[in-house]
Amino acid sequence: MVFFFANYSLRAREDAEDITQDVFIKLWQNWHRIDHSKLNAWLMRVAHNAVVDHVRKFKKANEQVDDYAEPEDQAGEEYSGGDLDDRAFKQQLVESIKSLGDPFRSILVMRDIQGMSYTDIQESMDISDSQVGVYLHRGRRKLRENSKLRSLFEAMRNSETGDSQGEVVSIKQETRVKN
Amino acid sequence: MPTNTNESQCYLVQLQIDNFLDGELTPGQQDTFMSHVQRCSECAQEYRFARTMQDALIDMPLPDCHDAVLEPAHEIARGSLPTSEEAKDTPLKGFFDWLVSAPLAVRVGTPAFAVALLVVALLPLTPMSEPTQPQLANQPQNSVVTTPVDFEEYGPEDIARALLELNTAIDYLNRVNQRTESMIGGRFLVSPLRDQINAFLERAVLDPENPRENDPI
Repeated sequence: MVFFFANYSLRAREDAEDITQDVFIKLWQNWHRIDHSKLNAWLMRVAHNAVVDHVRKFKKANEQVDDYAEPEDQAGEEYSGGDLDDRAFKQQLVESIKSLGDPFRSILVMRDIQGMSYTDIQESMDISDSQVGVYLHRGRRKLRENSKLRSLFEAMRNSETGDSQGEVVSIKQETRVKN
Repeated sequence: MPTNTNESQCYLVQLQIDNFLDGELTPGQQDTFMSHVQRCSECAQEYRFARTMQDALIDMPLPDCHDAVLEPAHEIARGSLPTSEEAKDTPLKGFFDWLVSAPLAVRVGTPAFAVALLVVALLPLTPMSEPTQPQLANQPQNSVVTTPVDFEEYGPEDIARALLELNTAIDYLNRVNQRTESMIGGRFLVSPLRDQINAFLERAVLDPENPRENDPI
């Protein structure tokens, strides 16, 4: 759980492993002081704080970098249909998530990728229930504003349907949550 | 900001896309949302984009880290936390496990019995109240004067009792002193003088014809 969160929040896998190691070392060092009924929330809070500290240190060391994880420039690549589009879309999605600011990134990862409940997120981030919803929706809207992600989606749709307009949309409200 | 009714409706519907995806809309709001999206291609595109992104996020893989990453933490845990075997070997653990599983009467009675046993065991160690008057001079060796052992236990009554005993002891010593003085006086002063007087009187009796020469005065 901690590694999932760190992996989708940080650019390098090694950084995510370091964060995971630090979190669990802190866990055992503070074992007797922790409320064991809220262990998950404690772990996620420590992981979130560790990620934020890591990003802050990285920014201090590299002040010319505007964002910690710049999405890779994929404008020159050509896309063809099928799995390649899907893979490219997912790759760009991950990069876009990593470039989001906090707390949008953290809440998006916790809710949409890890499937944590609003209560768990609330306890982990120490924010109210309504704030979780607000930050989550704003994070998703920020992702939809990402032009590279949108263009990849358009390419994916064009390869699937051949026509992105005039299609009857079959929609129903169903909430999908990670198992 | 939208300028006409259609644009404003699209604006509101697109604001509701995430609420719709999270199942937060009421049935009435759902109907309004779905009917608009089915009519409006722009909003339909926006909805599809949001839905595709949501599905992609849910389907994201959850990679695991290598076991070696957590090895330092495991070493700390092994050193600072008792292992399951150590916890089983604790002598009191078996007793507590039995106590937890025992009926309520046993769980309440056992500590109460332990407390009562402790009180009974400590009872002889508590200080007892003794006779206030010590035995007097006739039996000085057998006088039993009980005083509290611990100074913090002295109260006003104890102090008064101690003063009374002290006065009694002083009286006794005074009487012993007087008797001793009298004994000393009788032995070294009175007796010799008496002996001299007796000796003179005996001589006076032996020489009746010249009594004045034998008059010691």
